[in-house]
Amino acid sequence: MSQVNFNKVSKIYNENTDHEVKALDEVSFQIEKGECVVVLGSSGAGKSTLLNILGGMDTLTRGEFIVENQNVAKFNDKQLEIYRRSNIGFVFQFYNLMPNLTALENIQIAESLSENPLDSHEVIKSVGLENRARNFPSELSGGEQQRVAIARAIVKNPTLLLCDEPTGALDSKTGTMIIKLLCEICEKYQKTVVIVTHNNKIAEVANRLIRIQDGKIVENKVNTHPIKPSDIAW
Amino acid sequence: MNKKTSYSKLSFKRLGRAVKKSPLQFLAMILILMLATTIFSGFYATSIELENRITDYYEKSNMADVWTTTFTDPETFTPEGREKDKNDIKSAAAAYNGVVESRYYSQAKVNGRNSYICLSDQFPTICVPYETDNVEKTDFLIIDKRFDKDEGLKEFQFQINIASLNSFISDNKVKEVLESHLKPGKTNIFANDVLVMDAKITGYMLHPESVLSSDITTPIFLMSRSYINKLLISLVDNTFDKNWEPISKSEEIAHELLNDPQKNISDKYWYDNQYLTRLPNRNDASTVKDLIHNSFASRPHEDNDLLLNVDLKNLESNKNIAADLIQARQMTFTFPAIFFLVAVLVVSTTISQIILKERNEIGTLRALGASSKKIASHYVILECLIGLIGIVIGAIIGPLILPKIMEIKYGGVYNLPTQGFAYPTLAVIILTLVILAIIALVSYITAYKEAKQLPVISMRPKVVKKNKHLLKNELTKEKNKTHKLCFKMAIRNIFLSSTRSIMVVLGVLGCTGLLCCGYGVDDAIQFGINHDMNCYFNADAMVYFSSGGYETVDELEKLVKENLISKYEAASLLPATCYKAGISDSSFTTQVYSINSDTYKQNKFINIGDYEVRKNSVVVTSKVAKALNLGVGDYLHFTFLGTRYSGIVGGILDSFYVQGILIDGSNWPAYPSFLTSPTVFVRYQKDAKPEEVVTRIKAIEGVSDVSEYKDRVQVNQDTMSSLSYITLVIKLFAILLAVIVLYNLALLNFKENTRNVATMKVLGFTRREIAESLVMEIMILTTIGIVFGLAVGFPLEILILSINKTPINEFIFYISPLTFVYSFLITILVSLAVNIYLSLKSKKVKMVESLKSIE
Repeated sequence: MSQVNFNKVSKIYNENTDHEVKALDEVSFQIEKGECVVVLGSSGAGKSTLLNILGGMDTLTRGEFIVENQNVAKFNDKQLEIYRRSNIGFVFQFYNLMPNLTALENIQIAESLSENPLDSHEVIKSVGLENRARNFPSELSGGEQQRVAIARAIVKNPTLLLCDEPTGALDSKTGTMIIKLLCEICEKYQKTVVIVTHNNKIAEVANRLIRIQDGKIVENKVNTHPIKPSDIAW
Repeated sequence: MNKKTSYSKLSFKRLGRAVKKSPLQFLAMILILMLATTIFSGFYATSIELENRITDYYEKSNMADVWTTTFTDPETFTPEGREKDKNDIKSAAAAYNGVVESRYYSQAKVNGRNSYICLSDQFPTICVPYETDNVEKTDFLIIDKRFDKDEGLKEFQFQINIASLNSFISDNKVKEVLESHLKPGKTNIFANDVLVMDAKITGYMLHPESVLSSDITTPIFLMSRSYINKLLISLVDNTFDKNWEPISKSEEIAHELLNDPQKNISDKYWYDNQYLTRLPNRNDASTVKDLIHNSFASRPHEDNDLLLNVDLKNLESNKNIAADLIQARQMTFTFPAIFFLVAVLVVSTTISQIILKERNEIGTLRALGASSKKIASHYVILECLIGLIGIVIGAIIGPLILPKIMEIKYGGVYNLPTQGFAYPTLAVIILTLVILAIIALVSYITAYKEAKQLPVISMRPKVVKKNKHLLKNELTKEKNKTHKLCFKMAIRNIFLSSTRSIMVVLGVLGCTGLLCCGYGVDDAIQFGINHDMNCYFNADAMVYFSSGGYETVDELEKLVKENLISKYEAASLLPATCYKAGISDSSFTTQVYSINSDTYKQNKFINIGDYEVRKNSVVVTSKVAKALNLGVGDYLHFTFLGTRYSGIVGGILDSFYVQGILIDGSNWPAYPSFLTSPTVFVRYQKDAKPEEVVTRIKAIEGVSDVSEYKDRVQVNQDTMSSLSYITLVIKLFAILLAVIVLYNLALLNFKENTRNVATMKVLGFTRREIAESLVMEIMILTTIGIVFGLAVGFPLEILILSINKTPINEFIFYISPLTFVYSFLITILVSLAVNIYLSLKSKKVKMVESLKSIE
């Protein structure tokens, strides 16, 4: 069975009112273990909603959402909390690092939460920031901050690494570096990665592409020949 | 074309929406300022009300400016001498256009209770009673309203001293003659030192010289000479047979006495001995007093019968009122000062934090072209409006509520005329302007500073500056635990937001200090009561005997034999006017405790340590010593019934409510026998039932009352209940302040960390872990604040007690260790509760929305 199974998932705001908005409309897809998935769509298409549901940050209105044989859709708050703690690594567009913790400490705080974490020092080395470990987020560039965010996500040794527009706030060069890093990390630690983006180019590095529009999946295809991140033409 | 909407209108709309979005933050600011203003305006209104009442009391009563009292020994001073006294005083007063009124003023007893009698030919025009009820002004007996609270006592029995008359009768063997002319069934009314008369009350009053409540001082009653003469004649007619022919000298005297008691008793022994001088200009009082003093001093020694010469400024009751008025004014500036200090600090912090949170918007407005001044001015107006709401509410509530609470204190101590509502308009206006100026200044500086930044800097997140020591982080292989990192974050937050941290510490310091002070005042009261009970009333019961009780005191011996009581000892308590030798213009009325110097140390009913009351040594309490500026070794005079006694101050005792002089009356042969109406200390046998002992004691003839230890403690606690009310108000306000301050600061902290909370939730932190990380910072600051607060609690208590002295006591500064525990627990629990409540709100933090945009 697939690692992630989305079955007719709907997310409806203000249901049965004049202001009803269908952010997701009976969306179904599967993700296999170790896949690098890119969810592509324009602004307001519903891709972030999909990622938030995947990350246990938001609930769905209808449908089934199964991760490793567990129906996350039926989880209560406490179970969602444990799900986020054990299964999910999240990378935000704007990093969301703790401003009063150093780069290493930001990674260590995630490490301390996990029952089976990776070594924080090794992880920070793997994102190439061992020399910036004692710097605070405000002393790091955007790219460096995003690398810390990736390290923080991966150190928990999660089942799913979810990235919400990870290059959205970065220039093309840094963006390439981040995508390269994500792919390497994914490969090195054998993680399933889901990247949400509106950038078509990034989709070329993925094993699977899910295109979403107006809350519906309009394309779900396997990319048999993914390109290297360095070959992305921004 | 549509009309252009102004920048200001849109700016205020935006700010208004910001207020709507965070109403609690602004509400907290309003409440803090409201509390501080309530306390300030309330206490200020109280002081104005008190001042108005005092002014009204002087005006209504036509209060005298100088009191001149002469000796009343008829053997020594002649009617001519008295006439000369009057003329000399009138001459001195006339020099400053003053008028003089004379009267007889002496100690008396009403239903066994000490009091003062004022006999005058006419209804007084100086020191006029006020709040009288249509009183008869010719034949009158008017008593203090407080003397008879329910005004149900239409007839009362009073005793007036006739000791000098009695000795005169004895010397001439007149007494024997009188004894032989008694009507059947009657006893000789002239046999004792006191003459007991039954009288009918003609009216009630508040008397200006008895302005101190009669519950704690000796009350006065006024009587016209015509009235007492009628009583006297009636008494003599009812007691003696007057229809007999005198055949000896003694019989002639007795016969004359019985047939014309007015001439032979009233006019002869109750002559005017006190002169009240009223001056058009009260500032001349001291000069006129000196003139009077000089006129007496210039006489030959044997003609100088001046006993006391006191001006209004030095009158004991006036000194107390003046001191209380000063205290009331000081109260306006002590507690409210602390409240305002905390309020201004907290409000300033809140304003700064609110503006700092808006830095992105400020940067955007600047980028759009708005001027720094314009941006800053809108924040100033908003914050001032918020501040004004709090001040206005407080300024309305305070003068309405606090004077009523404080009246419990003043009403218990003074018989002042009642007054209407007083409002400290000018003070409130000044306060409002000052507070608004502070708010405006803080808002302007903070907003202007932020608006002066380059827009690009304002729109970036605030840079965390590195501090070598605080942010030191060793790269370690050791796996950091979550709570350790949270602790680290909390410590760093404390130092990085140093201003806010200092404000939290100061806010908590103020609240804990106030709590500590409030509880400390209660401690000092309880400690004082316990101290005095153990020092001066170390007995299971006090037994009060009525006049002549000395005949039945020995009945207690039977109870000793029956194993109901183990010990008893008689003492006497009499009011006396005392003054320091050589200084007759400053007197103090107090109780003289006469004890037996041979037995009190064995019986330990009174514990005065190593001090001695032998020979001519007297021991005084600290308040008497302070009032008269007495030191050990000084000479002290005290007067009873016109006779002066002197003693050397052998010791000064700490005391709370017991104030007076301890002597052994037997050292002065002329001192009235204390057994006239003795007070007896009684200690029960260990296995005796108190109820049974009390019943048996009450059955003894002559016993007027029995007061047990617990009753006395209760009475003292009731007497001090007014101050307890004030401390209760302070404690309640301190807790309220703590709740608001801590809530406000915790809310600030929570809001600042909303994004972090959302991130933590995404990372999988449990609610408890998030709560711990949020609570940790405020709890660390609270603990620091509490430590400092506890440290200032006792000095604050001393300050408050020092300025809140009452005429009836002298505080012994004390604070119980439990007070520190209570203050600590209350503040820490309030802080914990507020923080936990806010931490629970982390559940409501929406991860998606909170993390959607960059700060």
